[in-house]
Amino acid sequence: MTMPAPAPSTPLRSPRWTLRLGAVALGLALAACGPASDTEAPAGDVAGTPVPMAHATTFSVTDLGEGVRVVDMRASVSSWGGAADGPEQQARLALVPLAVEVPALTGPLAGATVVRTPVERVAVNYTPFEAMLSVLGVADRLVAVGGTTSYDDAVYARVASGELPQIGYGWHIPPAIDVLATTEADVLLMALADLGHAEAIPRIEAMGIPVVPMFLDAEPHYLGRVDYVRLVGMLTDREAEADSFVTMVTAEVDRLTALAASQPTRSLMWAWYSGGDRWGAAVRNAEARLLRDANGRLALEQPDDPRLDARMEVGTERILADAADVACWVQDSHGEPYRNEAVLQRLRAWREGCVYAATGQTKPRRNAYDFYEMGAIRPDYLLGDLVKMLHPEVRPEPFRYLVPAGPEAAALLPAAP
Amino acid sequence: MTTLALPRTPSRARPARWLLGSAALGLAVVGAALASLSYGQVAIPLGEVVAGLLDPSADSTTARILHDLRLPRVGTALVAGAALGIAGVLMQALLRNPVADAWSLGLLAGGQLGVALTVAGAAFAGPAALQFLEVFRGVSLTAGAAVGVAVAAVAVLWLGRRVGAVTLLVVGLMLTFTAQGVVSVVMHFAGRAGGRVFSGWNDGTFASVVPAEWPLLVGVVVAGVVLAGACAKPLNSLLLGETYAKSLGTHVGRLRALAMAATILLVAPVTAFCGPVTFIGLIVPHVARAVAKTARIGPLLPLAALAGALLAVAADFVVHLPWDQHFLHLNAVLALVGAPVVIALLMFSPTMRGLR
Repeated sequence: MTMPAPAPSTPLRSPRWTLRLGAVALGLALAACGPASDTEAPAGDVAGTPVPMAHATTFSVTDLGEGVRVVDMRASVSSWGGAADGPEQQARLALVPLAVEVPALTGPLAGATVVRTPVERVAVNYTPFEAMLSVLGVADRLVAVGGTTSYDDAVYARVASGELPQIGYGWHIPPAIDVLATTEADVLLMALADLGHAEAIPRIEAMGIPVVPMFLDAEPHYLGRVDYVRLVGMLTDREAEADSFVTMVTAEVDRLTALAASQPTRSLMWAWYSGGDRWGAAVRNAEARLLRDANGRLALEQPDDPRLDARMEVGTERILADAADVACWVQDSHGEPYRNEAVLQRLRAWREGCVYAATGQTKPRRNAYDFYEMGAIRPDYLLGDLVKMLHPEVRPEPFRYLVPAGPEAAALLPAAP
Repeated sequence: MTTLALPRTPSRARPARWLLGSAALGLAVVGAALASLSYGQVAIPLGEVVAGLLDPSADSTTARILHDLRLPRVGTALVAGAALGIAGVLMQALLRNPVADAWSLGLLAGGQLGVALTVAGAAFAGPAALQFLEVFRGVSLTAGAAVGVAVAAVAVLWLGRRVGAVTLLVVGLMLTFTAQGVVSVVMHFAGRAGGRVFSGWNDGTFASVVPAEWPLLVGVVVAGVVLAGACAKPLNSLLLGETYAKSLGTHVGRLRALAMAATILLVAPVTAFCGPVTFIGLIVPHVARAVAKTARIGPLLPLAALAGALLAVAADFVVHLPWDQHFLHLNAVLALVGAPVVIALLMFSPTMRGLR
């Protein structure tokens, strides 16, 4: 066997020169790997009439007349249980009725994404957006969804039959752009589960599909998520229906909050077991506010911070130390059963049977949870459940999302070996 | 011209050195265990730890944290670390490969695949089957992991007689990637509830074992330790080559089967109850050999058990420090220690250089 001849030798570069080259290459590589989306601030304020939003802080709307609206969107994107680790995402949208000529995209409108309204073909990658279209009576305008987990039977039937294409498996991954291209959507309502997903936005818009980034999870108030229905109403020309819906939800929230306020405050935790001795726990922002409005005192509460996710990981030790005496315990729908009986017996909520999981209204065969669909824009549903859990004497209505998950529920399961 | 070298008998461990090393490792294990018991998200003064250990009936929150959470976790880390350490010694001797262990050769991936198939099967059978699986998690996942580990072990044993050390390592890693690819595809169809069961298991940890599972975990591991002890002496002869071992009257085929059975008994329950735990079985035999200055299996087994327990408890201690917002993952901590050791072995080990 012969060895290949060595390559002709080249003059050695000095280490210093090599280091410079390396630094340049590293800089180029880092620049290439950074988020590709444009995060520059929109070009100045727009002269017009602000459209007030009661609670939303991640978008604002300015009316320019003749039905033209400018929507400014701005939010930090936090990954699940984490912190916002990149720049704030910003976008300026110009909603222009089809009957109106598109204004010159100069000055404050320079770089704005134009969406011609009303949109008739809507792609979404997150089930709450399907719910928004449903409550506005325009679910038939859906042309693509994020996966096969729609709780709404009519939407699911269209997905299952192949009529509605999937542009991803849920919102956890960026949309499948090739599938999206076939839908000829007028707009994509896009949730960003991760800052890296923002890189898909310019690529989608380059194909002629305007993107509306929807920052529901970044809203510090849960009613801010509901205000997004008004934005979708503007896009679909269903503003009256949207206003009516938001007013109805807000009124119900106010009623339930007042009802809970008439009762003594009770402590609770919202935590679900995720293996090892790790728990996910709702500790701040919108979720914490919802629990406070149910007149609950959140045992693991942390200060609100829009750059941190509403949830964080805690250990079983922290739960024993800080939440052993809470009156009630809410679990999520995707936690696994915690099996250490000695620890469970230390929890007052477990001993007294005030443990609930958000597993009501689910269709487990297809991983569909109304809690994550309609529940996102009907916080009054969960608030009602929380009020009933904490103050059962004032709310006789049945639970919607919460179901008992304490010892009495565990007793119905087969005995562990 | 080929020169035949006579095999050198593995040098005997010097008893004083072995005793001193065992004592030092033992003390380090005790120290690490006490640190783990006293410090975490909630700090417990050492005096309270000792008092709590002496009074299991104490009812304070710190006493319950100690008894209900930390003692089972640290105990599991001790048992699992020791088991993986001993299994590493067996595998490295059996395959005459200094980077052989349950993880690097794909046994853990086999366990992952076994559990994934168990979970996916239950998910396809319907929500009731999945709920049943959750309740009987200990038995069902143990069975799935054990079968997966056993199948992978037999495959590795078969391959190990046909390829060199580095090739076997690469094949083991490829088997791991293949198994993980299959797992990913299988779990894609297992749905949210199935994924939840699998991901809860798949994140290696010593904290998920509950006291009711201890008899099964410890019982199987003890059986593996006994079998490993029985294999120790004949394995010494195998270190010098199959021909030499046969010339000494060793029934090599039976020895391989027994040693692999011991490995499965040691690795399968740990993998089943703790999830895949990496690198311990790979690093620890080298520590044991460095301490004992011998390759003889008998003296290495207790040293590997102590070193494995120490590494497991220390890594678990780091995982459970009061980190902000998120936890560290056990295998991430172990990789920080283990990966450089593997690189060093690949670069500097005479065995690896010779078999490249």
